[in-house]
Amino acid sequence: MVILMTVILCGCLEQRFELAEEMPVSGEANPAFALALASGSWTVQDALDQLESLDWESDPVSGSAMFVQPFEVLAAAPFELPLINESLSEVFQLDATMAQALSNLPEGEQFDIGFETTWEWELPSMDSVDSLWVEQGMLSVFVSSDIPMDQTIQLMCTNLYAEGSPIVLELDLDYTGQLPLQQTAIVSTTDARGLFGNSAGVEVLFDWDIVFESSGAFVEKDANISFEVNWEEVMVSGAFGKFGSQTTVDFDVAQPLPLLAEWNPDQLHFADPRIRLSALNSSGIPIGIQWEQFAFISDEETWDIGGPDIESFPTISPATSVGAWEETVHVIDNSGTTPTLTEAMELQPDSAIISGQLVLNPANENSNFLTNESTLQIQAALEVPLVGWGRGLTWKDTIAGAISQDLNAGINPPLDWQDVASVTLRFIANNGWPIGLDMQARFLDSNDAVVDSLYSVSDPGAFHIAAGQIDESTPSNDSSYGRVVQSTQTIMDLILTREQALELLSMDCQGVEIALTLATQGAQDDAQVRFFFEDEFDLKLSARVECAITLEP
Amino acid sequence: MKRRQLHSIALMLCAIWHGLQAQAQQAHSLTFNDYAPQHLDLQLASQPQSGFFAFPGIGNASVAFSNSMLHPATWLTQSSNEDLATLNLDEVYSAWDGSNRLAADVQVDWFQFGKFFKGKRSFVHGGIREFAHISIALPSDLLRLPFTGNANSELLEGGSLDFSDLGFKTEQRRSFYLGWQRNWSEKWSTGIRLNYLRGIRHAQFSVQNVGWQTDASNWDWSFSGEGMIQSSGMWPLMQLIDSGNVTDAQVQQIKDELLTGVGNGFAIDLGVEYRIHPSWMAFAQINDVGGIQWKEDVKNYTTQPTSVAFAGLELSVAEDWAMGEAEDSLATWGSAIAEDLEEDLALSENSISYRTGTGAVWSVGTEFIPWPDVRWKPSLGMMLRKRQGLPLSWRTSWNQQWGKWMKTSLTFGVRDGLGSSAGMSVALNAGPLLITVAADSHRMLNWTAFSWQDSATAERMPVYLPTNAPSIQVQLGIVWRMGWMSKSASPPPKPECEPFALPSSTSSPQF
Repeated sequence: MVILMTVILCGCLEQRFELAEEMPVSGEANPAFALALASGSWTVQDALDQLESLDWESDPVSGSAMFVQPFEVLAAAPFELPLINESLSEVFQLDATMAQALSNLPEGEQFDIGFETTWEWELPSMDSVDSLWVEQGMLSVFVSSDIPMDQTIQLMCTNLYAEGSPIVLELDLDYTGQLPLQQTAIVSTTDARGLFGNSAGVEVLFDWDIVFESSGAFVEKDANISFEVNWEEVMVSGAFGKFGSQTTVDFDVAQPLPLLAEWNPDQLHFADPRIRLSALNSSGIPIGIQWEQFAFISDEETWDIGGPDIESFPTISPATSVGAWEETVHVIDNSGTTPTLTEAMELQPDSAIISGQLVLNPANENSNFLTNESTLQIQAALEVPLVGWGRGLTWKDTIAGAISQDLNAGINPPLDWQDVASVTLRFIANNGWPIGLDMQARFLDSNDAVVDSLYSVSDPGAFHIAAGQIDESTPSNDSSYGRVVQSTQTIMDLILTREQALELLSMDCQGVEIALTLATQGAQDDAQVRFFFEDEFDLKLSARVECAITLEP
Repeated sequence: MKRRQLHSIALMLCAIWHGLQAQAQQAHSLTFNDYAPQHLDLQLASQPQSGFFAFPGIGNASVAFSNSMLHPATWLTQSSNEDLATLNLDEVYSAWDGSNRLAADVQVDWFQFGKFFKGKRSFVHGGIREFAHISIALPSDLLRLPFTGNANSELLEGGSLDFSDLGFKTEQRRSFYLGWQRNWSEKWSTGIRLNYLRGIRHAQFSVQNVGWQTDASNWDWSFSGEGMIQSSGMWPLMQLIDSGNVTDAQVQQIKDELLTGVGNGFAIDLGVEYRIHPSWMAFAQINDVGGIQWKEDVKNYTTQPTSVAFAGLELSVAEDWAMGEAEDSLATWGSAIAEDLEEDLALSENSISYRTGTGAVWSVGTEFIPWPDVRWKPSLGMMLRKRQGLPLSWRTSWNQQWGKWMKTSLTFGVRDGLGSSAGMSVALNAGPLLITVAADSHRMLNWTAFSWQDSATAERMPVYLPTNAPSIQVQLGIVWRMGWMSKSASPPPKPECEPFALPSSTSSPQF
């Protein structure tokens, strides 16, 4: 069989080929390889969250995304409650009849007299006082008597209460033959309450009751009992009544606004900025604000903001009860300011100055209250809804490196740029944001001079991702005006051909400057757009390599 | 160019080869050579010229190669004034259009016999036949992937690559067969053959609906498909291949399985012949209807139909990646994708016995003998033959009987869709021996020498390959002829009823 096959082979060899590694190859293979590289989806929320130093919220009116820079204006007690240190001196002097009656009193017999007195003084901050809460204090009575009898004196403060009962001080003076008789009684007024019935000031009512017990001694005419009442270190923890209209706390806030100093008003326009002032008042006193200054400033200039939103600032409402808070919100926006806040922001201030004074009870209302825990907190926030337009916003970054070498190393081995017809990067964008994107890449030499660019000026095929579609028929006063209603899909191919690559290889490119230019829809016509947190931008990146492989030895 | 186009078209017409069937490989050129006992495989209802006994191992052996994938001679050109040949990539690309298959089959009869009975009214034959097959099919899109890539819209229809043609099969089986042919009348004959099949080894890998699609707009990939591996009796061999070492027990197992097999089954062949006229004959038959149940040392692996998409890296996944660890993070991400794919495939393993079919073959044919009574009678034959899962084969044959000592057939046809070729068979009576040689492809006579120069040693190493022979089939056999002693004429086969001459009433009966 082997011999037969050998014979057949020898007789049937019709051709012979000489082969070697360096044998020529004709024809070419033109494979194209493509794959998806990466994809991502970003909402406006995702993008704004990258700006960690800024706060973002949803505009309560339109729902659009909104930049918020809060700052505190004031957090203090609207007024300081008084510290009471008062004293009263009274003398109870016997007339001749009284003295004779006491002298005639058999020994051991008792005689009781009573009388009332009023102790008044004014609280300067209050026009009328209805009641007071006392946190601390000492009420003391010093009695000195030159009546030669045992005396029991009871002092009842009929409108001062401790633990629900009128405060009573009792003194016992025992006659032992020596005069004068003296005694002191002290009682703490901690957590005491004083009810004064809207009197013009504090009016403490005393009921005195003196019981004399005869010792059989003669009582001189004009004998007397002197009283000294002291109420000291009285810390008022609550005052109820009517506070007089008066200025109290000063405030002066300087809030840096670095963001406003950096942007170019020719590129960025915010249509509806505002300052929201929120006051929380736990006192029962209406509070007004007397502005001294409301301005934006820079190093060189100051721009005062006027207008009804400033000048007719509302009164801060009082709390309805102790322990409650009442919020008053006031928004200052373009409709009530002169110049408008938009105009002021475009002046590129670096700070805002807000100063003034609080005015207690500016309308002289009755039934105020103030406790030692009452606080007035005024928070302000610069709110800038992302409503407006932007154009020519350019972000640039330079990727340094031996680009030419990297271009070659990217595919070699096993290929070289002779084998690659083109490399395509495909960007597939579904843009639900009202902002479009243009990209340009410029190739730099070692001196950072531009040696070539990916696209020529006004190239119709230049890289462009269109903005989302806006319904232009929506009325401008509609809260949805400028909102994207339909995503726009753009498929953009970034093609690097062999010729371009070879040209780059010959240029010794040492860097690539990437420039992204953003513009909102219709920005050239100052058309406004709105950004909403849920607006979504999807981007997919895929790559394709078209080869033209010629296996040259 | 036209020939190449026809060749390409012929290849393109090949059906998708699902579950490549391993078939007994007979030379079609033997169909009408009734001197050769081997022709019974192709005309079961006919009779050979004599009974026979085959010498073990050489009574009937055939080797067949199918190659629709690699014909390097067609990819090269070299003119007389060139030192080196030129490789033409366009020819390589064209050659891999359509079905691409490499297959080899070896068939050997260890024992074979045949004997006439009842005055040649019936013929009984039998034997033991060993059969081995290996084949691999590679999808056109896979071979041409370096030419097309996955995103050449001009060359790929619909941007998809179809890998459903991928397959591999190997099988060894032994057949114990016994056949009976009977002439029922002058016109009708039938044949039947029963085969007890003993499966020695089997392994098959196939896939379904496997494809790789690249989206035309966003270049996302999607892969789909399912696959299956069935094997029986392969484990010790796989261990031998992997490790180079097997234990004594495994060696014994291999030996035992060679004798006893790992599966069994039955197949049946049926044939009928009708002699329309002494000059016309028609036959029809069906072979290899049956199958083998593979029972021992079974390992099956199947996947679920799955579809996987790849759309690149989701940047939300890479939020926490650090630049310096990007490579490791990418590797981890890739591993996660692979794990997800593995989970989707849900590869399951079992040892459940399975059945494979032997793959039925039907054939029909006709023979015209213009002068049926002459000793050197020529005839013309035509046969159509169809294997399950393969294109139709056909062959025309001019058959020439050279007295009693030799019969030849010169044929032309197409075998299994692998291009047209000429063939021949010779059955030579050499005394007590009957020598049969047959081949279906003249292309195997055209060879090309490839001389490769080793760059290190500068020596040239010649390799010889057929120039362009998609199908090579050679069959040989030497049998001992029963009743080989020369007789003036062999008595014709007796029909069932003989004409009986009634004596006339005027003649005396002869006893």
